[in-house]
Amino acid sequence: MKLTINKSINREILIDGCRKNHRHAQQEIYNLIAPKMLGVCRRYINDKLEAEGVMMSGFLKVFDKIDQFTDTGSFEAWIRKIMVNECLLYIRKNKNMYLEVDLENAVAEPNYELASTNLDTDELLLLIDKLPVGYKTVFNMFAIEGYSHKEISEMLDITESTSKSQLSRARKLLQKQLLDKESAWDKNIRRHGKA
Amino acid sequence: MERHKIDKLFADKLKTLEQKPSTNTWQEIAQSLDKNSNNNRWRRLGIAVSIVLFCTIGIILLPYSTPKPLNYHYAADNEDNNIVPKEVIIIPVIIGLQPASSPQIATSADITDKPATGVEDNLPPITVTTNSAASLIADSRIPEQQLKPVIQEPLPIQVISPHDNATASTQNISTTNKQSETQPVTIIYKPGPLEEKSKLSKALTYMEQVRTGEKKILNLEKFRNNIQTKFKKNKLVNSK
Repeated sequence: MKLTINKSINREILIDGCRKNHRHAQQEIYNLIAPKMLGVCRRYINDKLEAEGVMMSGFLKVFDKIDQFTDTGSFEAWIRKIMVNECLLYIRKNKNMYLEVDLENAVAEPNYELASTNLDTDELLLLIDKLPVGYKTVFNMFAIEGYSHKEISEMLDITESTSKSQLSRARKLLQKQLLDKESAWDKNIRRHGKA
Repeated sequence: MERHKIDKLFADKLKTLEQKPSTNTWQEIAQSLDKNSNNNRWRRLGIAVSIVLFCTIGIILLPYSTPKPLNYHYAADNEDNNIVPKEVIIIPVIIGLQPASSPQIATSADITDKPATGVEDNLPPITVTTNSAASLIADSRIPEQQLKPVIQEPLPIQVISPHDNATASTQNISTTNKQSETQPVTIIYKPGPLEEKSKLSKALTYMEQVRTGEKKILNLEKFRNNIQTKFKKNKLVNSK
């Protein structure tokens, strides 16, 4: 409890320092939050270097607009929102977002418990990376960030039905990838069993 | 709404995803921040210099700006107590100067050619009055030699000195007054430096129209208030 209060006070002091454009306070905030924010950017952008570039411009925006941050909300959530917006800006500029991918109509349900046990964060990230940009963006925003289809449609300037269809296709592709993984594990088990 | 299992699988593991940035990323951010900060400093300096320049130019040019032209619209009629708007132009100006002992009469035909320039502070105000219908008292600071008293029959406008204001109302000088029952209206006005002959003419014409009954001022209080309000904006100093 004590630690939490101290952390909170410390963060307020740092935010205040950032408002006064103190470089040390800005660096402290960066050191505290950058790894999480790079994680956010990396989920949207496959290439780590490009994700870092987007995160950098996101932090410049954070320090430039810090006066707009009201102390009522969470500072980290505010920064996360800026990062997501930066990622969307990057994707819009650099990628053809809404490519349709042919999918088999019926995809069997994978074993999610097995997947959760066997797949670590990096492997799941690789699965998301394999999705087309549009699918990945909508899936990230809906499933992980928790935006509604209405919010996604406004942020990406698409219709709600497009957002829904992109999400549905993203899920199907991910399910297919998980099923492929499962069959690979089965083969491995069988091979080891025979051996 | 129940959360989709695949959403939960990815969200649980990827929501807290952290990746270590490269070591030089902060250096690049700091450099960009320094650059932005310098740009902002120059921008602020530029804005400050512009404001100072703007104010300086404004202060230099202000004394030479042309005064606002005196064009006022006033209308009143009182037939059957109904006020019917009727546009008139009122431009009170100084038209002459006259010793108290022997009042002289002015008409619009004899206005001085010279604009009423050369304002000086210590000269007395001058009263210009119509024959009990309406009056103008101008706080004239115009040198005496620039004012030209005029005399002509019939007697449309009387010019008197301010010290004889009290006696002016008692003098019977009108020969064709159709509005003798109307109370006198007195306006005290400081003329601007650039009054022109045409404006003097218009003022006199109006005063004459009031005197002959062509234009009526029967809602006297309203007339006075209106004139007073409008003329205060242009250095009108008093009103009776």
